Amino acid sequence: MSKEILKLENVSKNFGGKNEFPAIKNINISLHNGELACVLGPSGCGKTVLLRLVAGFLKPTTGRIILDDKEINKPGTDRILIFQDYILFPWMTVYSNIIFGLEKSGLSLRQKKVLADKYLKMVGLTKFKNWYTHNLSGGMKQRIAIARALISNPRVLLMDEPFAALDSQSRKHMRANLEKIWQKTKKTIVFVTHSINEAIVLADTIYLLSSSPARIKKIYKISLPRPRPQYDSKFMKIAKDIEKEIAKEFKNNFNHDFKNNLIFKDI
Amino acid sequence: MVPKIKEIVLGWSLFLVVLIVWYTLNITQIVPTWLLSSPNETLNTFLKLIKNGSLIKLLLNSFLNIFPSFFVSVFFALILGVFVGINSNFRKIFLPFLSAINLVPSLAWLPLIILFFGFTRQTIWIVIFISSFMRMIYSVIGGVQGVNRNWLLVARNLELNKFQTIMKVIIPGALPQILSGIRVGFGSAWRSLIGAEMLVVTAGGLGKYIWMSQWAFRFDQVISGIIMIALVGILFEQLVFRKIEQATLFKWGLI
Repeated sequence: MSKEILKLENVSKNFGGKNEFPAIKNINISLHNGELACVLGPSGCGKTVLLRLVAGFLKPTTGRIILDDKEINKPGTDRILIFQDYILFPWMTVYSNIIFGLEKSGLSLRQKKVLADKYLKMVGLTKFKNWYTHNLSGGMKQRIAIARALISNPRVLLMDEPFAALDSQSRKHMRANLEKIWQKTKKTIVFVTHSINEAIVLADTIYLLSSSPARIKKIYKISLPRPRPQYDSKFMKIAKDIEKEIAKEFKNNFNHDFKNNLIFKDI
Repeated sequence: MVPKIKEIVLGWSLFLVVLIVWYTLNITQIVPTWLLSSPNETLNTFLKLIKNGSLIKLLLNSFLNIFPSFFVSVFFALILGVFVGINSNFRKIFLPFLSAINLVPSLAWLPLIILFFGFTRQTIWIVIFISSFMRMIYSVIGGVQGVNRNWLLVARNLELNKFQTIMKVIIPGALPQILSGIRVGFGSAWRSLIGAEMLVVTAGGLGKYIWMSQWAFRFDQVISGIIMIALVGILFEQLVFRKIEQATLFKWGLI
């Protein structure tokens, strides 16, 4: 196993002033170099907050986030965030969007061009390099965003439900695409999703989160050979296991609400 | 094709009504003919003024009165608008002041400006500046504040400095509102220009021409001047602003 690269130590994040509430509580995650970790949890459980903490847009209330033995305290090109809705710049061509990832690199235009061509090829968009983005499909847009992230050569890619806005066909296609890119670039990836199947297809490790506040409920090491067909019996077993765990979690939450009369108070 | 024809017919209908009323007033002599010249006479005067070049000369003079100041106001509205848009302290300083000035018509400043600068082109420039700047600044501020927050996160993530973020993300991101601000600002400046020229006649231009023609009871000339003003306005709208939008917002799929 290769060297540890990203570590979250007892990370908690509270929001709100007077009525402070915890969004994330005591999260411990540790990724080794080249690992693809999926953070799986229900919508609104704080997965996005977790990624924004790692990206450096938010500061943890307690705990530390460590990248390459250094504590993170601000955003940087060593951790690039990829959004669900791509966040491309419509006034730039595909090419310009991608070399935007090199804005602070200080490379010459020629060096930028060489790199851009390499990543355009990797994401299969060479033909579209001079297009503006509004005519492209969601999958293509996300590939541009991935190329823009990769070109700045980050240590870690942070992907926030990157395929959630796509239809199921392109989602499948993009998972396969990402797997290939990941194997080629050997990047460390934190991939947030609410899809159990997506997590099992992609992950070396799945961190299952509980909701409000987000806590790590269970960790699954997935060692199935890649690529992983979804109708394989081992695959299905893991999926059922996770489903059961989530159902338990949901029941707990419901009982909790019930006991506090949150539901029937008004009747 | 049919909806297109319908659009054209409906679009011209009110112009036609005005023309008919004008003819009727003229033929029935409800308004004496020495006061209101006939459409034919007016058209002849208009064409004559175009042919002998006097309208063009007036127009160029008006351009000289408006454009230097208009461009300067675009520049300053852009700079101040960006700063006020991104910085809350700037907002606290400037917004109360701006909203106070905003309620004052730009021509109301004219007496004060004449006091300092006299009946000169500089006076008109200052009026134009106030007029277009005040219209533009709000659009720029709104555009900057409306820039997609996630674009800014991408810029922070990629470690752009403030200046790069403004030039590469904030200004292009706010461009739809900035362009509409420039458009409204130009309209406002153009209207103020004619008013200012009527008062500061020494600076010449279309406004002066209309004003002076009135003293000579030449209403054919007054109307010719008004038509010219409207035509130039439409021309700018269609040729300049439409073209700029097509080359930017339309190409990027923003409209």
